[in-house]
Amino acid sequence: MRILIVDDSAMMRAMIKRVIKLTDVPVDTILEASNGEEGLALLRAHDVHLLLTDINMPVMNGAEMLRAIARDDRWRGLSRVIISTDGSTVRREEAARLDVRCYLEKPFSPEVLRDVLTEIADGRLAGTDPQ
Amino acid sequence: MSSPKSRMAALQALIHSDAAAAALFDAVRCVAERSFFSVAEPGHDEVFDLEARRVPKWLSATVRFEQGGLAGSVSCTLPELLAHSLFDAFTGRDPAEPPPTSDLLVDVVGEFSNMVCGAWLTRVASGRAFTLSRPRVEPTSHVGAIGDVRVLAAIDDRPVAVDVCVRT
Amino acid sequence: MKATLDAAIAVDPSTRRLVVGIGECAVSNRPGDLLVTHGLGSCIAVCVFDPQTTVAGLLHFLLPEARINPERARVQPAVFADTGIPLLLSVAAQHGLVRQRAIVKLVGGAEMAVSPEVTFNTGRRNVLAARNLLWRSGVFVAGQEVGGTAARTLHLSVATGRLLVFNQHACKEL
Repeated sequence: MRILIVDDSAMMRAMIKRVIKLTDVPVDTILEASNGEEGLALLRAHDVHLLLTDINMPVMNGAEMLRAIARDDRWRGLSRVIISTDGSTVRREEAARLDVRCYLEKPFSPEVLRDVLTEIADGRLAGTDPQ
Repeated sequence: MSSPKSRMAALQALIHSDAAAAALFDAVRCVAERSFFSVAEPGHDEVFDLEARRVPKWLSATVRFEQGGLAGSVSCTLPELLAHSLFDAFTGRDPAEPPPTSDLLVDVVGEFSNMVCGAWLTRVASGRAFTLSRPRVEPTSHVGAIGDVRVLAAIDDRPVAVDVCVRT
Repeated sequence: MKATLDAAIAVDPSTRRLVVGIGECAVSNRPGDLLVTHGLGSCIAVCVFDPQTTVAGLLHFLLPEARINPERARVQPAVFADTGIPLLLSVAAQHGLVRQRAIVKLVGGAEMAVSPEVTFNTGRRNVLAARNLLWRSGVFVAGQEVGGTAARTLHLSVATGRLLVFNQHACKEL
């Protein structure tokens, strides 16, 4: 599985990568971007299976990036997970409209992210929120 | 769209309610425990002042927020030593690995403040979305109150101040 | 209480019970063994199990950090989370446990009445110290039965990894 992490915090990306590496999920590449624009560039260049993205980022935020992804059929099969401090109803409703499979609210424990990754890898997740 | 008068009323409620201060501490505790495995306890003025005098270096991380007609910032001020233990806890650093550089310390303090701000707004914002700026982190020697609401905490027995400034 | 415990776990008379006291640690790869610890108040029991090699370990620690008493940590490392957990994982590895597939559970961390030996909030501090150490050791926590105000007892089967937790009112499988 090829995973793309989009977050402007290098620390958050490092933490997520660590969780990925400690799980049983078969991953061959982990790509990173620090904003939505970089994220879209990586999506165009690589065949990504799972996107983990923050919302609040400079240059292009996660919501804008997800709207761009939703408009393009080539990414119809891309699994999308939001990892954000914004747990508002408005954002969650928008996420549901943008085919986001899971909305993970920060702060979260490593085990919660592990469970999300395992569910997606097993192909069982269907719009559920693990929080 | 809400009127200037109702926005002002909401602003006043946000600044002066005990519930907002309680929500701020709750956000600090939730962030500290869930992502940093650190104990957060309520702080007290006298104890904070005493502890603060012993701290040689502080870092302060400020995140600006906007939510509809309301805007402001949340600043988390904490000892640099605490930043080291927060880094280790957040990243799961093995003691055999090299200690973090100052850039990485700045990042982790910024992320801490980012999470506290977001967790607090999610609690008080009544379901409305908000935008957050990238955290601005800098060393500081000033630990006095800098905003409209201040909450003191002890995280892993180290003094932490969280200040909220709100403007229309 | 003993009748209730025995009925709940249907102890085979040939089972060897390894009782782990406060500040102690035990590891076994003998399928007939049962690891037991009693009186978990604010202390934490860290239970590890490898289902493939059937290795189980149990640490019963009292306090989070060894720096408050380095001499005690030197002679009894299992008293503290930051010396006991690495010890548990190291000894369990020597017996065949592999961290990547280890099932780790935490029990205890209750808030008990303040006494001269323990400080207030010790239970929660111990829980967080254990979570911190385990994460830094590259290990996820599969389950926990922590908090509250009642002391607990637990039994960990080496053969199956089955973990039973008892307080004065109930028995539960974690």
